[in-house]
Amino acid sequence: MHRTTDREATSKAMVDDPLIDVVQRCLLEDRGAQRELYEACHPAVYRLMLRMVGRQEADDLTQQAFLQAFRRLEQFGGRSRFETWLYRLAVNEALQHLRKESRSKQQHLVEEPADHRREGGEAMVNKELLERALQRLDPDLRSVFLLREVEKLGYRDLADVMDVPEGTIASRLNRARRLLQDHLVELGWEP
Amino acid sequence: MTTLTCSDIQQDLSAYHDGELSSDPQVAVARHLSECGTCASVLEGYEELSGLVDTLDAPRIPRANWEQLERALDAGERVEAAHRAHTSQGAMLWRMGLIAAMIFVAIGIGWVAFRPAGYPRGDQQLAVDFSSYIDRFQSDPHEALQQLVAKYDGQAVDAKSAARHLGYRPVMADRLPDGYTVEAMYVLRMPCCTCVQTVCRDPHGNVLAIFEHDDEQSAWFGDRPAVRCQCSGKDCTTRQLGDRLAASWKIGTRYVTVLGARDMDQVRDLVTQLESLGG
Repeated sequence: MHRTTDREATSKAMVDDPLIDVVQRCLLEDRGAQRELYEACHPAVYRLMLRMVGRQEADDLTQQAFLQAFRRLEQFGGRSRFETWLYRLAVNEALQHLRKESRSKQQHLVEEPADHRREGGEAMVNKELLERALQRLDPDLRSVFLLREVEKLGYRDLADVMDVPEGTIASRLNRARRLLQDHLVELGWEP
Repeated sequence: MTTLTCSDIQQDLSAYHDGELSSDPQVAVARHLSECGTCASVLEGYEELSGLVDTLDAPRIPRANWEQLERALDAGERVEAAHRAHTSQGAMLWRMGLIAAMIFVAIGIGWVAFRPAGYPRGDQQLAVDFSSYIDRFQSDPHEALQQLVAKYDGQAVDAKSAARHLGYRPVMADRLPDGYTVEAMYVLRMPCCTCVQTVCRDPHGNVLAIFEHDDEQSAWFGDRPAVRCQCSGKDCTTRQLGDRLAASWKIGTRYVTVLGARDMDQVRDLVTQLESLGG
């Protein structure tokens, strides 16, 4: 079944990027421009890293993603928006880190009783359940879910970030959503 | 007409929920959902999940630590600089030998560059010639022009005679962008194509070279990094040349390449104005 919309089909080759001027100046190693680009994109990258790797590592890995970006900036050909290319570097940093972590230590999931309502009300509990359910998701699925639901990336950008076809993005999101619902119910969520 | 099963529909439910389906499949899914409680329930689950995500607190974002990043960037650069500064005697002799070899190579390139016209030249030679032109253009645009004219049998033309040489009327011949003045126009017989170069001055007094040619000529720029972007609705390829820009885009069936633009605003302005002039 055809998935791309008419809107996307007309703009396959080149993209309109509000950051392109700054990127051009960064290619000249203009430190002012590099700082401008870093400060513009830092919140989005940090937000993603926080939910991918946790607060303790989010800062370091965010910085690492930007270091990679500035050192490899000549490889950014402008075929996607700069932010999409940066997300790709950030996701790769996060996934590499998580793979290293899973090889070096065993992870223990703490199961709490199903009924754990406490002060803060149902909304507070649901938020916490969602945060915990997200941590149970496979990192590849977690990243595509967060980039879609929180960062609002379209399927074309998601495909660029994850380096897969758009059809694969749709099926990963299907899986991520179903698994998240399962985890939420296991943790005591009542839909 | 093939009947869509729930399995077919559920494969597309995320795309439907995210507004990523084109119109026909979207209608098909919507029709199925109006008749199928099971699939409608799955979609409702996706909507509930999105609603939950919307309630997540925006995390506290720490201050962007530019100073730390800058130190890390400098550390990389300092490591490279220390490596370059290292000078053992052996390294110095090796470098002298390398310089001698480069001089011989440069003489060889120079002979190739100035041999009589008619010899075939590859893209590499064109990139070398054009690179030399670009370097000269940044300090002395008119001397750079004379360099190209000498190499490629350049002929000074006006709008009418340019059309006779080229078979088309150059876009810069009809009317100039507001505030621009033409200083020279030459037809150049380059290995890649016969093209026209217009040297003009912008309202701020800066000199620009505007080439019009048949095909996209990325070979002119060799390995210089290119960035593709949208400028005023046009697909545009840009390159940094010192503190100026080069930009190429298509007008009708031909390409325009501008050298010496101040910034992307000037590129966008030229794209808009030349589009309305040339068509």
